[in-house]
Amino acid sequence: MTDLADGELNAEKAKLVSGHLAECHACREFKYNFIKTAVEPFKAVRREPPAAYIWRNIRSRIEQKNTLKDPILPDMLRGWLSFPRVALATATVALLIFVSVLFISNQRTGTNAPDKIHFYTENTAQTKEDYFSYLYEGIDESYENETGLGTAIEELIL
Amino acid sequence: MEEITKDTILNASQGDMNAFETIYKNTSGFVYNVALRMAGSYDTAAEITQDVFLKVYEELKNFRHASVFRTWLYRITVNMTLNALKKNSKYADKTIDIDAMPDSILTENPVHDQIERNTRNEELQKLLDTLSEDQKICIVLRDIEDMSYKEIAETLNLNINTVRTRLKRARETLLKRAAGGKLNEMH
Repeated sequence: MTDLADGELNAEKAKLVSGHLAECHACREFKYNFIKTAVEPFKAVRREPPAAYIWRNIRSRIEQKNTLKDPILPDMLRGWLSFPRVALATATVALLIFVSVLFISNQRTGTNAPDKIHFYTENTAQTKEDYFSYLYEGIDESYENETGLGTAIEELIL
Repeated sequence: MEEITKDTILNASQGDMNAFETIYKNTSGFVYNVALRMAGSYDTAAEITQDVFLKVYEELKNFRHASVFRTWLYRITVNMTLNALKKNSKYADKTIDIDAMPDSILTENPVHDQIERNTRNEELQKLLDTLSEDQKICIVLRDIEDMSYKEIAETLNLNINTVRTRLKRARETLLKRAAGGKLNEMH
């Protein structure tokens, strides 16, 4: 009956139902009551136009939102700021890691100074005194009277 | 309802308020009336209508024309209306309170001067409120908005037979209420 009332019955079924209704008084009466009470009243409900103040409110809320969002930013800068946050965060982390690695590797070459030890030889020293004073740098006095350890080179190797 | 062109949608999505107003003028009747019949309150319907159009404005840039614009907007309307009624207490008022309506509504809608019609609409609203929300939205879309089963199914994202069953059950409920004498007073 619902499909019939809504015009959603296919032609074959509609013909079948109409044939039955033509013969059956009880079903005809049921159909009449059904449409009169459960369908027609709602079809007769007047569609109300929305009040004009609704659009005014919508418009002002959109304009307010747009003003709050970017009061003075030019389009190009706005594009930059709207760059996806995940991509920006990943790039920042990668940059931080790169800078940290660069900094640490610089620190290492600065403090160990292996080139001084390897290349500061008797030939490159201006005098023998320079060379021996370099070797004596950092001698641990506690080793002096023991097994001959105590030069910078020995300490480094040990 | 006049069909809305792709250019209008594109312009509105880029912030053209005149284009967005065109969309509003063409679709606000549907949004407002669905909200009104579902919520049963002019104030609530006005609030829901505003929220729906703000959402539509925000989402327009994501609309890809994969679906018909009207179907897309209908879905937003129905979803927001049902969600608002279920979740938000600010929409809890379910009665049509004419005394509480702002004067602007009363002056802008001459229909409210017709007390007889209002009484009739209130009675119908009471009947609608006896239905479950699932049934009520089907009746509103079918009988008041005059949508086909197929359109209702697309809007509600349901199987067409589910729509058919909900309408059938809704009308059975309405018939039972009528048998109880509620509708006889109106005819």
